[in-house]
Amino acid sequence: MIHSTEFKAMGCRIFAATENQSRLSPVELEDLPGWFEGWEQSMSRFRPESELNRINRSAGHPIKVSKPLWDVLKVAEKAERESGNLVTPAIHDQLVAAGYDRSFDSIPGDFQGPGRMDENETFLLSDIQVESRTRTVCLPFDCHLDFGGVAKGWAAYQAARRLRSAGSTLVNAGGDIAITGRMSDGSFWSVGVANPDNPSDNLEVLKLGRCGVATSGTDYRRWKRDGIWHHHIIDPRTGLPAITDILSATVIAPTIMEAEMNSKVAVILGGEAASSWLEENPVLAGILVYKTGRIVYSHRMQHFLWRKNERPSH
Amino acid sequence: MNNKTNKKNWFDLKVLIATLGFLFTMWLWNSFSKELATATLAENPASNISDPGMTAVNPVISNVQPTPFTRILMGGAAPQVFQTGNSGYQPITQTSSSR
Repeated sequence: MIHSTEFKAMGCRIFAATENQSRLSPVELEDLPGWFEGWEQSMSRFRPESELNRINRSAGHPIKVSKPLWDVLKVAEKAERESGNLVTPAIHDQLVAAGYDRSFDSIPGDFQGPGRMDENETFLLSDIQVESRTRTVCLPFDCHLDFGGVAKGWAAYQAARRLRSAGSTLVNAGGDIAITGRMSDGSFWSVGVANPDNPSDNLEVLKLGRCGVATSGTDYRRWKRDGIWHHHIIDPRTGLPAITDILSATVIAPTIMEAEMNSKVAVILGGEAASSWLEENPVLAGILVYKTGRIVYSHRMQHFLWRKNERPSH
Repeated sequence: MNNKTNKKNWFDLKVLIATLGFLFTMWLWNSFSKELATATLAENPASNISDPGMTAVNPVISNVQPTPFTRILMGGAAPQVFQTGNSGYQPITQTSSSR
């Protein structure tokens, strides 16, 4: 039996489902909103009193951080390293300059607000001084962090881990999905891949066991400024929203953190480099939707697609 | 002795007939499967490998509105044709750009 819950947190919809033989919903599902609230209070840049904002305000001074924030920092360091510096949380100022200076729900469709869109220097996490023993962080002056998707993926992963004692679990944090494993009868979870041109429709339905799946794209978190569309995926090489021919990239990886990072890399790289990136990493599978309407499936994707007449159990 | 030889000859003949029958069946199978793959490609002319520079990668390419529930995955020596069943049931959830 599948038990589920849904609520809003971290600026997106959270959905969690746990499958077991019991008719009673696991109590952990009721704790879920509280966990997300705690993580959001720590890591949101849109809450003035969040721990992240305290760190951002203390640039130049060492500050001790909580265990969850430290863990996210470590995940972000790994993502930065494995992405060849294409995915980094040190692009806060570039996001603000591009116009993403408030919760996405509050950004008007077309606004003319201030902001500099020149190419500017970006920092990397390797520019930040960290002390593991005391869990202290010291940002360079003018460097500010935004964990964004990294925090969301980490939160989905943590929530799924905590829920898995109640049964096989799936947690979807705004499109970033962590799955702890197949259901008790061995069947797969089925997850739709949204059509970026019509999100109520699915391009494909995936059959998934233990893994992470994430979609990044320029199709949703975008806004118009001075008549030009901008989006939230910053290319650290330029400090500007990535110039890409990809509308959305869906990636399946062993963990949601890897899926999130690699989907973002695919969008930033664009072109044939994006499909090469997916093909060259043997643990990744992906679907790339180009702005031209072309859809590219990586070879390994065929293992995750439902064939006609195959049926999920739920 | 002569009786044994006759039996052996008849057995050899049966093996030969069975072998020829099997080979003929495999030949027919192969011919029809090739025709089916060619026909599917012809019905969906927009499906192609667009960039010859991608030989090391060989991605799977289809157009944005492919023949419903049909994907052609280019892998190995011959095209693999299979159908995906993305209709008829609802997935439990959906992955999309952060919503």
